[in-house]
Amino acid sequence: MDILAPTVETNTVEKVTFQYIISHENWIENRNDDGVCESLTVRVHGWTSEYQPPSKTSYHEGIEGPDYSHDSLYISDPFTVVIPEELQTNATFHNHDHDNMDLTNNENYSAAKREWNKLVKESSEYATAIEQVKAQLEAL
Amino acid sequence: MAIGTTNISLGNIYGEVNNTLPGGTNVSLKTQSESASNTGHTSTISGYTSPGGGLTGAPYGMGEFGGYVNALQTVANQTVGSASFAQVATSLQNFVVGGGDWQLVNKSLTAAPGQLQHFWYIEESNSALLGSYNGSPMSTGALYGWHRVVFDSNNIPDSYYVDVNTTITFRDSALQASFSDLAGSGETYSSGNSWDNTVYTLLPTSNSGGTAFKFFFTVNDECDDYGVDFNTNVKIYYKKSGYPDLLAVDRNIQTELDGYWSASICQ
Repeated sequence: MDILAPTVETNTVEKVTFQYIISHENWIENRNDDGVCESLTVRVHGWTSEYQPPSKTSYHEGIEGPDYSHDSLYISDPFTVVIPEELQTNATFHNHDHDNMDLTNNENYSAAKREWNKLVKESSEYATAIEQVKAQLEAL
Repeated sequence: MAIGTTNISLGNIYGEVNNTLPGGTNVSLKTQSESASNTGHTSTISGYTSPGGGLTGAPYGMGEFGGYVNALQTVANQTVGSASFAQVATSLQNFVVGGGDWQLVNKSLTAAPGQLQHFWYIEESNSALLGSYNGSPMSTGALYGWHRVVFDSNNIPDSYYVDVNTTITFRDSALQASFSDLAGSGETYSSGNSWDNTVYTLLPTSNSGGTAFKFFFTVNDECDDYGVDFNTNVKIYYKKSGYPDLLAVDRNIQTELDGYWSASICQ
């Protein structure tokens, strides 16, 4: 067993953690008449450990967590991420509708969303949007 | 703030020596000279020679304080290497659960006779989070050089503390995500839990046992993927009586957690 390192004093410092959120729950999926998603309108949302959205309860096991589908007061300007044709899909998020689970839809949406997240992160506007929200949170 | 080389005032000397605002009343130059912690100081006034030799000897002179700064001095303070950590978790259940930990470990070593080299290592403490050190995979349990701070015999601090701040970027939101400062393990000494800003005694070079600090991350989501980046800012301060705290290290360490919900049907 490790020995506790000798201490001089214990300081309790309350820390505020900044959180930057990008989520399919609050981006806008711009779909054509056939329901195919061709682009995303994205905003980065800023929260802190002290300033959190209302919580939600998971559908299984009753776990509580922040509901990031809510819009924060601290958000970036919107930016558009165009989805290349090979990454487009008409699949949609299951939205936890247990009575209407569609295996193929869910597989297609998950696969597409992973690629869309990469597109968002690689977009030229992403870093700017993060910095924009960071400035707002630091000013609190 | 360092004292300048012109218009040196007793008030400024008082402020610098005592780590406070310029001022004081009935300030004695002799007392300030004898109280100055930075005894290795040499006046930066061109051509100035200190007849007493340094700050403390008589006769005492205002010019001896030219360029004086009351800061703990280091012989060396440099990055040794850099690491980041990542995990991809997959789940065929309703929940995707990820997380794990890595550690910083420090040891008091000798760099040269009389010097104390406070050497910081980074460690992939288990295989849950895979580490990359200078671009190459890390081996679990091995210590990799991260940072070194070297003090000479006149400037060895009494103690140190780690100030950690974490920023969380959700590339794909999660149900829960958290960071905790937990008791390090596997070395001679453990930090104990809740070590953030706790002040630890700086061990002498005669005791080279390591002290471990654990950085612990958790994340989960329900019937969905997550993608979470923890940016952990680590500041390391050194304390010595008579000096303001020295911020020696201010670096970031990335931990990237991805979780793939592969079940595709929420049960």
